[in-house]
Formats: sequence, structure tokens, C-alpha cells
Amino acid sequence: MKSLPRIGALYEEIDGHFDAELDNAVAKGDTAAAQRIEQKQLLNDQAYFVLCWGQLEAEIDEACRTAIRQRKASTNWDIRRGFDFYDPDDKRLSGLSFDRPVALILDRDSGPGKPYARVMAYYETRNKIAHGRLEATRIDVSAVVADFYLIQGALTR
Amino acid sequence: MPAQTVLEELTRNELTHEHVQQRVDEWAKRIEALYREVESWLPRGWTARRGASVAMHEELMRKMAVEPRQLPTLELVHDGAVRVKLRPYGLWIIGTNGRIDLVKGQQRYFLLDHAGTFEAADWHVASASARRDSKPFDGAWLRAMLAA
Repeated sequence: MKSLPRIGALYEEIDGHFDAELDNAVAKGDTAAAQRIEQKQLLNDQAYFVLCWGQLEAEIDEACRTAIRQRKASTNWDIRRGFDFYDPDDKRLSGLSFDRPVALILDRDSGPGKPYARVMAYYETRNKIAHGRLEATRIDVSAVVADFYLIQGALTR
Repeated sequence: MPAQTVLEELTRNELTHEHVQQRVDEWAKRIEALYREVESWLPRGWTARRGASVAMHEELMRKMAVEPRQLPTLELVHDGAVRVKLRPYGLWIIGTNGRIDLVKGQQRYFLLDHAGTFEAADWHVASASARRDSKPFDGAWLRAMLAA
């Protein structure tokens, strides 16, 4: 996730400019301008959220490939046998849907609020945005970036 | 188990009118409790008073037919002038359980509740220009900010 700090910093800079513009509009009593700026912030949040998600997704993908490689290389068949089917060098990881590789590196049964559940909830949010159903709520991208680092630390290779 | 975060609320598709109404009511109580706490932290020479209220009618409220709600703002006064304003910004923000903006001159701080939904508030503060560097919001932080 080497670009995540730069993406997060740029988001803060741009959203800070919007906040200043919003303050000016509110101070002038220009409701229409304030609403336009709020709409820009909503859209900007989502654009940067998707950019940040790409960083986490790449990390998850690589962690999954590493986990498969390590287990396929095991001399212990009990460890190896569940992974022989997967090709870690396959561009699409043998056509697995996203929840499957995530379940290889995070505990799917760990419950609400845990990293697996958070990743899948972020993934759903990302899909909504990417498929044109924009969120009508703001995203605290800075908080999301911090959470992505927590998730990164929980990935079990 | 009810959704513990805004992210869960928005992705579980279990929202009801009652849930959203309860969240709005609880948000209003959290704001009141925070203002009382801020007032209790003020150093000598500072007073607090309620400012003009702000209307809350977020997307989920509209979606679930919950009536708009007026929320109080707080003004911190020193030497007869308003030096600091606290204004509720929003409740449903992915990544936080509500945000109140604290403005002092050109400086803006975000008060962010890190707690889960319907849990005891866990307020943190971050400068708008360094949002990832948040600290617990307490009396020591407030008095240092007022003195700066």
C-alpha cells in the first residue's frame, strides 16, 4: 500500500479547500453555493475511497498469492492438499470470487466488526460506487485509510 | 446484533425507521453530553452559551421518513467575544460515529466519535490539516487549544 499515504494526504488537502469554500459560502448565506460544495465533497470522498480501496485490494491479492505459494510448497500433504488446486500466478486466481481469497487470509467466521467483515463491507461500498450507485453519505477517507492499515496488519499470509 | 458502525449500517440493508430515529435521538443526547463536558472543562475567564441551532436532515433520515431535527451549537466566549464555535457536522459518516466541527479563527478541528453505534462516546480530536493525527478529546487538550 505504498501509495496510500500520498493518496490520503492529497485527499486531506483537497477536502480542506472544500471546507474553506464551504465556510465562505455559509458566511455569505449563499445556500446554493454551500450545497454545490457539499455535493463536490460527497463525490470527492467516493473518488478517493475507490483509489484507497485499490491499494488495499492489491495488498489482499498479494497476501493471498503468498499464502497459496507457501502452502503449496509445504512437504506436509495435510497443509498442501487444500491448496494444490490454486494457481498463485493465475491473473485471476483461478477465477475465485473476491470473498474466497479474502477467506484464505482472514477468518470468515470471526464475526461483525472484525477484519473479514470490514473488508467485505468496504468491498460492497466500493462496488456500489464503481457501478454508479453513489453513496449519499460522506466518507471519512482519513479514518478509512487508518482502518486499511489495521486490516493490512491482520492479513495472515 | 445491531450494526456496530456506520459502514455496517449502510451495507447490511437492515435499516428501519425506528433504528434511524433512535440514532438521531441518541446523537442529540451525545451532543448535549459533550457540550456539558466542554463547559465543565473551561478555564477561568471563559464561558459557554448555546448558539444558533443547525438543522439535521441526513440522507438516511429522508430515506426512512424521519423528521428533521434541530441540533444545538455551542459558543465559547472570552472577554465578551465568541472565540470558539462547536457545530454538529453529521452523524452518518463512513469511518466515524459522528463529527462535530470546532472552529477557532482560521483553525478547524474535527471532533470524531470513535465508539460503535449506541456505545458510550469516545471523542477524539484532529486538526483538519492533520486528520490522521487524532488525540483523545479531553479537558487538557481543550485548555491548551484555548490558551494557544
